[in-house]
Amino acid sequence: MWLEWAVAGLFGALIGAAEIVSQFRDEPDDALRTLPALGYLLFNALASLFALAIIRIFGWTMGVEDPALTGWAQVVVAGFGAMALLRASIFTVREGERVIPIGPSRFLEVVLASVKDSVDRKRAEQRGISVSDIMKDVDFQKAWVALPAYCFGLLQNLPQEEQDKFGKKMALLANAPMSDRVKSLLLGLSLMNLVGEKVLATAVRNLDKEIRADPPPPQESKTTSPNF
Amino acid sequence: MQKFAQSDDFGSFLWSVQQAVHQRKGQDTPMLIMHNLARQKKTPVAQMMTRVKVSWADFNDALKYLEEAGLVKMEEDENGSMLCLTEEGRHWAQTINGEWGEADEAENASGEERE
Repeated sequence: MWLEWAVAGLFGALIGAAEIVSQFRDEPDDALRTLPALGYLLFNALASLFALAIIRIFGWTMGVEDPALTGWAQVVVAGFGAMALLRASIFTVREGERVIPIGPSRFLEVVLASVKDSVDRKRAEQRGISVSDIMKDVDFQKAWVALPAYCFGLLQNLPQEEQDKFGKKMALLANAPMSDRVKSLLLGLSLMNLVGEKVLATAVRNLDKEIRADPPPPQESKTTSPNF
Repeated sequence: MQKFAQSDDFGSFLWSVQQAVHQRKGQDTPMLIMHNLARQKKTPVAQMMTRVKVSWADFNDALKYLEEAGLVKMEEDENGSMLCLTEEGRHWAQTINGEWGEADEAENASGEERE
């Protein structure tokens, strides 16, 4: 009995997790571990449990006559039913060129947007530290073509559209009146969004000297060697 | 040429960079728009155009480029067409703000000294 309730809750949580993972493709596990994301999963799990409770109160059997299977049929319907209900819109309102759905989906959209903002804010600091650390010795002029090409080569299946977008961003950076340090950071940020922190770090480590900034020339020693 | 466009590893990236670098040489309107958006976040399109002080054709071209690069997006609200940053554009803006914020402060300080 308790297993059915647990599975129904898990259904809801998994659907919520899939939504969050789709929003944060670079490091989905980090996004899922934040408090707002956990709250969103809990909300989806509770919706599924609520749906299961309603189904049981009204005694809907879904046409299944075997009593052993009826409970599981109710679990599946509750899991997917809550998902469909929460994401449904009853009607739409047009405001200018925008179409605004009215219904439970609107509420979920607002919740998801606030989760997204919170997760993004929380991860911005972490991302800044990581990028700064990974790209600290990288020379933008050496890396802006080689590093993305190598990362995309590692991934193998990055869509052409994403590659085109990235190419445009890099061309913009290459011509921008900014210091190479900031350009390197922006290159790292954009790459991290596409390939994730681990792939970026591995690529920087593998390319090593090819993209590393030249060390500053050694300062001339003030003491001169005695001339015998 | 076509073989780059059809590649699925990194050929599209190299092709796109090659094209874009040649097209955009000497054009800094997109970065001017990013600079303004980094401080304002959301700005009416007409206001942005008066701020960057370029021709309509150049402005439109730069806007299209930034949209294609996934850094800015257009939104409609009661004030008309608004220009705002995408999620990645916001990440760029945070970094650009640090760089250009210092440059702006230095410029303001030297202006005050001259006065």
